[in-house]
Amino acid sequence: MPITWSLKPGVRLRPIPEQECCLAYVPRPPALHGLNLSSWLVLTLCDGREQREIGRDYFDAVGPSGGPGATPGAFDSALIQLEALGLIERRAIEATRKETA
Amino acid sequence: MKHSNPVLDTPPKITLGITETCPMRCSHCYADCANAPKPGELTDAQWIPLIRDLAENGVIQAYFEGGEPLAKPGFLNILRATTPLMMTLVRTHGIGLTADLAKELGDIGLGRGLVDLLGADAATHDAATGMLGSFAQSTAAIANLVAAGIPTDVLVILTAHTAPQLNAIAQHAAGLGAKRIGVLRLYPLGRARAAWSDLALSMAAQTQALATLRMPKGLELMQSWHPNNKNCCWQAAAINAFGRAIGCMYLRDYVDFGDATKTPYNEIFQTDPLYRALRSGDVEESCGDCSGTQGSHGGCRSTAYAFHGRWSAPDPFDLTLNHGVDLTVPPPARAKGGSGADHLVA
Repeated sequence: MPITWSLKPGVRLRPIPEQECCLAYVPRPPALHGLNLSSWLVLTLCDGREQREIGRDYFDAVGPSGGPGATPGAFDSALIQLEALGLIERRAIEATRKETA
Repeated sequence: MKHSNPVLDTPPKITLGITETCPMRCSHCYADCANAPKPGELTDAQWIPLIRDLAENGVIQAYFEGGEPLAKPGFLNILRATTPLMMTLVRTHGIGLTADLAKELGDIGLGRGLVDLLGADAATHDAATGMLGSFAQSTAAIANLVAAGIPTDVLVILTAHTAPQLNAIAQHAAGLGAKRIGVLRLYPLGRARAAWSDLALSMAAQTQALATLRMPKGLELMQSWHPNNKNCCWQAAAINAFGRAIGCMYLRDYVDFGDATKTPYNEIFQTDPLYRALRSGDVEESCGDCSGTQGSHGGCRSTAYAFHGRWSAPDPFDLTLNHGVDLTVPPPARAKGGSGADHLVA
């Protein structure tokens, strides 16, 4: 079943481009996480769209670099880690349609 | 040789010395605290808009210290206004930090508690704080914070009194459920400078105390002696109880970068010549081991200035940069200056 990904409500981001990282604050339970460029990019792309669309944009962005973030498992791994940190949340599209019906 | 620290355009984290009020009378108090708020301290009604402004301008973590933050009138209001915006840490002695208050702090969303211990037993701790019963209260505070689900660290300043008890303090912290223990150097600030001869250890004695520390299982150690001596200035931001930008609380006796209630902190950060110089890492000497682990150069600028009177001097608390400085001899008083290039060394 297709799923969408969004930033969790209340999460605040603090980009630090001069150090090529981003800090992400989760208020409940409180935690501050440091994200590398790959994780930061994935987080930025999680704007409520379907995972395949986010993935397409991600690989469009990192593909030419050929770095470790461009490997096939890197995107899925980043999504799982960001979800575990409480920064993003998934929603099944069918469930969403039922909820709104 | 030219050294360079990492660069930040604006500070993501800040320390707020929220008050110089404290019920205790610690012999080493860096703030020379009093029982009641000092004239000119910002009120909670002044702190809250200042903190909101900091958040809007990129600050995402606030570390509250004092004085005793919990003795600040309206402190919980300040904390309530901060936790939706920033990760929060509170350094406290734990006086009056009951189970109910710990639960309230957890409900408000406090991110981490840090409790000072000045000994492993009541006799040592209470003698250092000048307050009978303070060890019992600090101990209870650690337990209460842990029970409330708030990650909690124990902090201990390495002095002639705490060094012989370092292992016992670590055991005590672990037994109470603390996550980490931070062993901190003694700074010649406030009352600590006046009591220096009683409190300070030689470089060799400090090194020996750390070498004999045996960490209990599950307790993490934070310490910044060689080879972990960093020059934090590159990322440092701090506002004292009176709303003055001072960069770092350990610079409290030496600098005043301006009024953070009138000038945006980012503007001070970017334009003050001394602040910029301190962050640059352009120091006379850098320890290769420490710069390798920390990515910064020269060690702490506060102790470098305190002992040498030069902002670019080597940090004498670093084993390789000490060069024979006797750390048991109190450094001379340094006049508190304003900002400006007059502080810089040619």
